[in-house]
Parts: sequence; structure tokens; C-alpha cells
Amino acid sequence: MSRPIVVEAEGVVVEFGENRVLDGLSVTIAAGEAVCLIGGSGSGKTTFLRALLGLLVPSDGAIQVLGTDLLRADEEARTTAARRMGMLFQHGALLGGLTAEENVVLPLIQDSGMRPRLARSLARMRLAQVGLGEAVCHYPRELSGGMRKRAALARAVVHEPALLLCDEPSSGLDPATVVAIDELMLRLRDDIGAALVVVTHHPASVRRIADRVVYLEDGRVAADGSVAEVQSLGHPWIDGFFSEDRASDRVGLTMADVLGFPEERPAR
Amino acid sequence: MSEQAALIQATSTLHTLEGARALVEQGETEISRQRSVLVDLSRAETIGPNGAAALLALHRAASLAGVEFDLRGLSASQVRELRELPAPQIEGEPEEGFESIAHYLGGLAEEVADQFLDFLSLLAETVYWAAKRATGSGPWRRGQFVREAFAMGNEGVPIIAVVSLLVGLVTAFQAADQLRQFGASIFIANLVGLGILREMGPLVTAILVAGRSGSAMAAELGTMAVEEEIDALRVMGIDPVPYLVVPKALATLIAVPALTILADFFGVLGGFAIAVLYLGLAPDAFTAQFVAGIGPGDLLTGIAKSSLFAIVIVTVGCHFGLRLRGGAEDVGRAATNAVVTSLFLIILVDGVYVTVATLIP
Repeated sequence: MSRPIVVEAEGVVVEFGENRVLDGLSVTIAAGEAVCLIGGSGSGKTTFLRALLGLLVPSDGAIQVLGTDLLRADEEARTTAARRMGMLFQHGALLGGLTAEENVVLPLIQDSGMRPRLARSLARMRLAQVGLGEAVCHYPRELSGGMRKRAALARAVVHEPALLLCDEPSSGLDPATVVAIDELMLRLRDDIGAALVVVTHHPASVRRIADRVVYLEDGRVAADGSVAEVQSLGHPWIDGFFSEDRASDRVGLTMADVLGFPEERPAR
Repeated sequence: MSEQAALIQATSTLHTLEGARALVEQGETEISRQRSVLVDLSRAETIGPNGAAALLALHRAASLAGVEFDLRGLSASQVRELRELPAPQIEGEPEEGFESIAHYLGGLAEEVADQFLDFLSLLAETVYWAAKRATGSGPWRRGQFVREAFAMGNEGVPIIAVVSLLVGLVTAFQAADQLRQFGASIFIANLVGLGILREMGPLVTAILVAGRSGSAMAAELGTMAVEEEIDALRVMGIDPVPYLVVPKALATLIAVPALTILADFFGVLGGFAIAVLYLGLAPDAFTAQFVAGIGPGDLLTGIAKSSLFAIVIVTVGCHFGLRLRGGAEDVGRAATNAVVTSLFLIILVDGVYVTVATLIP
């Protein structure tokens, strides 16, 4: 039996002034699926996540998230859909004036039936699960970068979202913490059964996490499949990504193209 | 390439900054004189980013001048180099002259209109959520309102007391000699009372609170926006206006009028000191004249004004913080903009208030 679709994006266009960041992006994501979004800087990965969250309004196309048409739904329906999602922002985005526990409690206080005692208990449970059982009363400024990411991850999953979005969860972390965060995301995904969408620049993370890899180029899906499938395409950027060779950054307009001298010329 | 092409010989130092500069200087001279230019690269072993930038600059200059531009003597390794070197964006040079000024002014007008609408929208949202909060609904940070009011009010006391005292002293000093000439020294009580209670007390308080707390609000919310904390709240279904702005608004609405009363007291105290110590008035005479000439209406007028100023300060500060996009340097700009805009609007509101109150008794 096929799994229900949680994200269905069709021809999504997002523009900032004259800069078209998403240019007809189409992708579907099923429940429980772990999808890694890869692509060069400016290819539209984070913009796509923000569009899924309703933080950006596309100028064209359609986005259905958890059965809600984000472009046609009213504010209340969009907010309801957003509450069924969890987001791990690139820098954690913990509220500086609140402790780790108070941050994790935040998504729960929206549930009016939730007793504060239970909300606190759930928050402490999730913090313990991410290895921060001792740091519940610490403020974000008292936590290291990896600890902040883990606290933010606890906040993203505490309300058991149906869709968990992670924007570069491993950026700025040491390799051991990257592995820990990856495993944590998968474990929490398995616990709550959410679909997982991860933007990452770490090929090892992609291999660990992804059921499916979606490669974005110029705001469109240029490759979509399992790790083996996208690697077999022979795309220079994807090859460079998985070989961790940043030569891929050089793909694009070269000086030879501009000057119009593609071949060797003898001295005249 | 025509037969009259000017030949420029790139040297072996083309890959250095010096070599690149020499090539561009020579090339620009030839481009201004000739209809076609040819650069010979046979003596340059490598091109490098500096040499490539020089060739790009000449290529651009030649195409703008309508001059033919060509290279010769490229070795296989140089071709490889050029293929490896990423080319910078060569389109989209900034426009100059009248068009760009018109474009700038148009953009500025659009930005001001956009900001004004945002400002009104935030004001309406804040009023809506504050009213909703009165009925017990909406997200709320327990104790936040008290913390904000305490920070704004308590920490502002020393500076407001000192500045108001000085303003009272200076105002009385300025008037003292003039009044004495006409034998009207006793009226210093009226002058100081009316001036401080109706005008200087609320104004000095608002200016200091805008500088201290308005900028702090813009910086705090701006930093939260930069750190994606505002987005995180929205994702969790928490509207940042009731959660962050309303406690600040209520705290400001309490703190500014309270600080204004304090400023009134110290301002009048300054005037009293000059009246007694400089003009030689009896303390009882000053007090009696003050009580006779100043009514509760004067105090209430100042407090009403200070409430309007409080609304301006909190809305402007939160507006510039919440709409901030960009990086850390924009946080400072948001704080500065919040203070400048608040001061402008405070003076504007004061002017409108005084005009309306004078024309409509």
C-alpha cells in the first residue's frame, strides 16, 4: 500500500525582485520518507523549505502540505498546517530569552488542552532524548553550537509533527556531532513517523539519511531518486558533491566562454 | 581582425597585480586610439586571476567602445586555465545619471509608502491583540510585561531625573532675567509649570525613552529576525505581535506616562531652585503661584501626550525590528532608523496636538 503524500509542489515559482529563486519546482514527498535536498548555493533549497512553511508566498504554482493548499488556504488553515510541521533552522533559532526547556515547550503551549506540567515533562523528555537532560535550564548563550542544534531539534519534534524540515542541520559542527545529529534525526523520525526533508551540503549525511535525493539547480529539480540513482546520472555537480570535490563550484561561465577562446591558438 | 590592429604584448608578469595593471593601462590607451586591439599572450606563461581580470576589463572596455578585441598566442595550458577560471558576472553594471536618480527616488517613495502601511498594520494588530489579551486569549509570555515595564521604567529613572532637572534649571534661567526686568519674577512659577508639565516633561521623557528603549526594541527584534527566531515563532503557530510586541506596548504605555510625571517633578524642582536661589522668591510664594496658575488639566495634557508618544515609540521600534532582513550590520541600522523616525514622529505628533488643542478649545 502506497504511503500518503505529505508534500505536493507543482511548478512553484518564488521571485525576489527580478531574481527568480524557484523556477517551476515540482516535487512530491510521501509520509515517513527521508528526503535530502542538495544543490549549489542559491539553487533554492532553503527558499523551498520556507515556501513549505508558508513563510514565503510563491508567485505561481501550487503547494499542498499535509492536505492544505497553502496558496488558497486562509491564515488559520495555514497556521494549522504550520503547527503540524517541525522546523530545525540553520542556526537553531532558539529564543535567547528562554531556557532550553522553555524553548521546547513553546510548540506545546499552542495546544490549549495541554497542561503546563505535561508540556514541561514532554519537553524534558525530548531534551533528554537529544542528550540535553542536564541542560534544561540553560539559556541558548550557555550552550555550544551542537547543543543548540540538538535543543532546536527537540523543539522541532516535541509536538510530533507530520513533516520535519531541517535546514543544514550539520553546518558548523564537528564530524562526530554531525553523525550524532544525523542519527538523532532518523531516530526521531522513526519515533514520530514524520516525513523528513533535510537540506545538507554533507555527502556523508546524505548517504546516512536519504531514502531519496532531490538535486536542485537554478530553482528546479534536476535530479530525483535514490543516492545510487542520482550518482549514476553522471551529472558533474552531483559527481563533485559525492566525491567531496568542490570542482563543482567551478561549473558555469568560465573566462574562456567570456573571452571566446575555447581552443589553443598558435602565435601569429 | 583588421590589418590596423594595435598589438599589445602581455609580459611574463601578467599573472601579477603589477603585470595586470600595466596591461590594462596599455590596452585602454590603444582602445581609445585604434579600431581593433590584439593582445599577444605568447610571453605570458600563466594568466592567473589577475591576468584574467585584466583581459576581462579590456574586453569590456573594447566592447563598450565598439573596438574589436582579440587574443593570440594562447598555449594549451593557458586555454585550460581560462576554462578553469570562473567568469564574474559581467552584466548589470549600475546605471548612472538621471535615470538612476529617478529610479532611486521612485524606489524611495515606494519604500516610504510600504513602510507607512506596515507601520499602520502593526499598530492595528497591536491594538487588536492587546484587546484580545484583555479577554484572556492569545499567546502570552507570563511575566514579560512586568519585566519590560520594570526595565524601561526603573532603569530610565536616573537619566530622566537628571535631564529633567537640568531642563527645568535652564528654562528658568533663560526666563529669569526677562521676568525680573518687568517685575514679574513671580510668574516664573507659571512659566516653569506650564512649560514643563505641558511640553518639556513629556517631550524630554519621550526623547530619552526613544533613545534608550525604542532603539533597544528595534535591536532586540531585529536580532531575533536575523537569527530566524521570528520565523521559528511563526512556524510554531505563534504570532510574534501578541507574543513579543504587545507586552512591550503595554509596558511602554505604563512606563512613559509614569516617567513623565517623574520628569515633571524634577523639571519643576529645577525651576523652583532658580526661583528661590537666583530670583530670591520665597518658597511659599512660588508654591502658591504654582498652585494658583497650574491646574490638573495641565498635568493631564502632558500625560495624554506622553501616551501618544509611547504608542509612537513602541510601534516604530517594533516595526523596524520586525521588518529587518539581512545581517548583523542591519540591526544597527534598524536601531538608528527607529530612533530617528521616533524623534521625528514625536515632534510631529506634538505639533499636531498643540495646534489642534489651540485651535479647538
